[in-house]
Amino acid sequence: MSSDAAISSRSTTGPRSLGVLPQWMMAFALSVCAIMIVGLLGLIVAQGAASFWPKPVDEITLHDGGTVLGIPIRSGVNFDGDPQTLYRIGNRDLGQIPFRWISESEIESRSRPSDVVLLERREWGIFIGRLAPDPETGETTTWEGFAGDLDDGAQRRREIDGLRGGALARVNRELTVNRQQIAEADLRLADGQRSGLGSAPWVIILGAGLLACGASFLSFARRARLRGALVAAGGLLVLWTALERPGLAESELVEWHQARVESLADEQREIEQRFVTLNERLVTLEDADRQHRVSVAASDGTLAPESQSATDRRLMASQVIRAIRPNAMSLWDRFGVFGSRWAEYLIDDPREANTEGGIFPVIVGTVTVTLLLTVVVVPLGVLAALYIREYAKQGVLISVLRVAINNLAGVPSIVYGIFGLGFFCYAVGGYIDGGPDASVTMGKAAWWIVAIGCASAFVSALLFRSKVRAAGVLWALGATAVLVLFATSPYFDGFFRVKLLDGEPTFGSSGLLWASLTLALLTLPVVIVSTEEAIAAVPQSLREASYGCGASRWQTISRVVLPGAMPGVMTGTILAMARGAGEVAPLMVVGAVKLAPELPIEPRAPFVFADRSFMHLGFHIFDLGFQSPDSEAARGMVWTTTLLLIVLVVTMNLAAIYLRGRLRSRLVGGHF
Amino acid sequence: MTTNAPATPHRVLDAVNEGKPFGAETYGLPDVTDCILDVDRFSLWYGAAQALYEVSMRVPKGRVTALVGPSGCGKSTLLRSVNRLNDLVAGVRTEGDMLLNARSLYAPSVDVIALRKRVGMVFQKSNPFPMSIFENVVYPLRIAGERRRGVLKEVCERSLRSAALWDEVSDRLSESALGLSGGQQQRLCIARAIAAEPEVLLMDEPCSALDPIATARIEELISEIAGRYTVLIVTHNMQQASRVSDFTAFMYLGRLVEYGPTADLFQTPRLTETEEYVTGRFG
Repeated sequence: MSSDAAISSRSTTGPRSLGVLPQWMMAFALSVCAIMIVGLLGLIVAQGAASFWPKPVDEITLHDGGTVLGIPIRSGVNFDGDPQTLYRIGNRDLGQIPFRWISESEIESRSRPSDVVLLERREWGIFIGRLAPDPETGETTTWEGFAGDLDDGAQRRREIDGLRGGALARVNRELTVNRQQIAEADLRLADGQRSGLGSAPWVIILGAGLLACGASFLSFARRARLRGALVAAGGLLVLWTALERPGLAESELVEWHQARVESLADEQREIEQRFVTLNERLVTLEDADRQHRVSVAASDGTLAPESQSATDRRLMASQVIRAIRPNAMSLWDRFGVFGSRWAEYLIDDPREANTEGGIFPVIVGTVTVTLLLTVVVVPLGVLAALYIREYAKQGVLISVLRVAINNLAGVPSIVYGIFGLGFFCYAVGGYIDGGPDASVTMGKAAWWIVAIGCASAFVSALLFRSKVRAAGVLWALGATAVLVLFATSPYFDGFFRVKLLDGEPTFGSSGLLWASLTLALLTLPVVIVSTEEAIAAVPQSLREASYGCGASRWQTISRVVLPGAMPGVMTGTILAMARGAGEVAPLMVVGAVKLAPELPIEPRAPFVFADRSFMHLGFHIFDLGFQSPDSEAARGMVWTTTLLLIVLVVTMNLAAIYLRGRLRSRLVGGHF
Repeated sequence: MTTNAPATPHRVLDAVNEGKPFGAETYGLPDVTDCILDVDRFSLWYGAAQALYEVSMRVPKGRVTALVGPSGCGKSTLLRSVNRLNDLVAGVRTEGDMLLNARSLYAPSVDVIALRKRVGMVFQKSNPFPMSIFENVVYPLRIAGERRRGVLKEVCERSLRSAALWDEVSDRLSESALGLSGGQQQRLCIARAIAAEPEVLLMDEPCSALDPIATARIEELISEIAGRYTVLIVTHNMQQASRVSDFTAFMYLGRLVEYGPTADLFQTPRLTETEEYVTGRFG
């Protein structure tokens, strides 16, 4: 009886007495999360989609007799407690502030006249007004005629832009190359007998060195130690012959220089001739374009000017990108404008400090950097994870390493950015541009001593390879020495010395390559951890089956373990891509810019311009929201850009999830 | 006491308890020349724990030899030592040697990978790769670098026929092996193991995860392939051992206890431990 009482009292005070409460708490927590996520996404989608919807324009007559044309944006209350409305009134080139709060007490009347015209222009933002009579002829064009004028203007503008961005840009590039070739010739003359290597021989030596390493590795596998020593000695000999090759005699050099410079100067004159021709054509086109002007008057009768400083000249037809009559549009027309604005947004370059126009370069930059980072991080992470799981002896060292990798994921991303700037951009990039810094360059004698030491270390490692520990130390010494040899070489002047002397770094500043590498470093822990888990989940019985069939370790890994771990690798890749695509802080220091003059990929060799700066969606959102000259005007773009970034990340994730699903279904069964 | 004397009670246990060496009771085996595998005083340790104690046994060529004994007696360890699969386990140490066709398996110069190609293995739990049926069967050839489609197809068909699986899967060779039933998967693993024409086929309790019908098919299969391959099979099932094997070795506490023709060992065991085990009194 007493034991029954004890049981029942416990059942009312113990954890079980909480009844459904824990379940309710969990449901509540889940609801809060769901509401936050759905709310945020819904807000972004709604605001982003609505930004480009053509809104009607109000004509407001004020008590003081003035009239204002404006798009109502939102309502509020002023300091006196009067209700007020924010209007977008545009016409910045007429000295107006483009956004204006108007309180209800000022307003006499409000109407929506159907003849109001809204112009989106290349510069100075929007213009709101009405078609006005031409001051010379006194006639007012019809809307259809006006639209025709604008179409012709757009045609002329395309021609001008095509000339400027196409033929003229090509000629400019040729001129730059020509100037650099002259500078290079001068530099070789100034260097005199110094046998500084150009980039081509250096690449050949690098390749030969790698080949020698590969050959010595092969002979290592085939137990021919002597061959290792011979390869090392031969490699050194080849290196010495290549590096110490006699240069031209001084008189010969002067002669060569003169001939070279003369031929380059001829070339330059020819290019300049072409430039002048093209430029003349451009001027003719632009002059013709200036003849075509349109008359649109603001509410006070002032005609839309060419620019703020040229108010006496009317707006050119080609300056208008899109003209609509916002109060006289059918729903169908509105959808048309909405679509054309989205199309412009997706395929055009930005205008007006990014607050108008499109974000095509931003999309291209984001996709390029994300793909590059994936290409770098996936092989690196997978190989590292394979080594940790399949080769390394599980012990204290590996445990420490694993903890370190996991902790890397928690380092603030700006730290990666700063590391990327210091190491990749300045150290590595500086080396690529101009060779080792003068303060670390070794003398030739010292360099050769290290080189011979390095080769001996490798050969001894071959000889002592049965005594594993000693051989490992020697390999490490040799590898370090190789690094030192490269970092301090007196024979290497960099690939882009001429540009560098011009004060223009190539890889020695932030750019696409370094941003990708920095992001790869940032996302490496994600890939390693998820791959490692996937590898560990491949059943040991499958490995045994493979070994039992006589497979080597590498065959087992490549045919059984890695395919089995592929879904996990894909998961890691998805996470890495999503993280990389959405990252902003490190990009601000290693390569993303407000406005990149050129795309990082172009349809001409080498296709990917790894040294160029690029634009990035995440950074673009920050820039629009906080760095833009008119944050009110940029508001819509912030929403659409955010929407686009989310769409991009979701699309990449969906693609990767689809791929992973296919891989998984292959592993589970069914058809191939 | 001598080995020919009638069995005294629990001779093995006594010897183990007293720490004395113990010689196995071995009889009725063919000549050394008819044996393919010769285990010579083989001992094995997992770290500090000894799993095999100086096991010596000869495995007749072209016959089926069963390894029986209670759990943990070392029969699987012995089996996995023949293709050196124990090398994969960290901390394994061995003493003694094994000779396959009079060539050492544990000499330093032995190429373990080549060895495993000569010794096929079928595991307790069927472990087909997540690939097509075809790719599963030809896996040993693929890793040996065979690319000729004709050869691969021929070997695939021959192996599947040998494993009595061809009629069931010939029309769906490109489908995933994971879609087969448990018994089919195990026969697929046998087909894979014999695809490379091994000299010895090791089977580690190949039927323990199968239902009686699938078990019967596998046993039938073992009898069929017995003439062509030397089979060394570990089993828990006494009936199975008596049905499929020509010779049986009884192992106990990491030692080989009694080894002889299956009929003799089951009907007239010479040691008390053997008798108790085969009659089901322990184990």
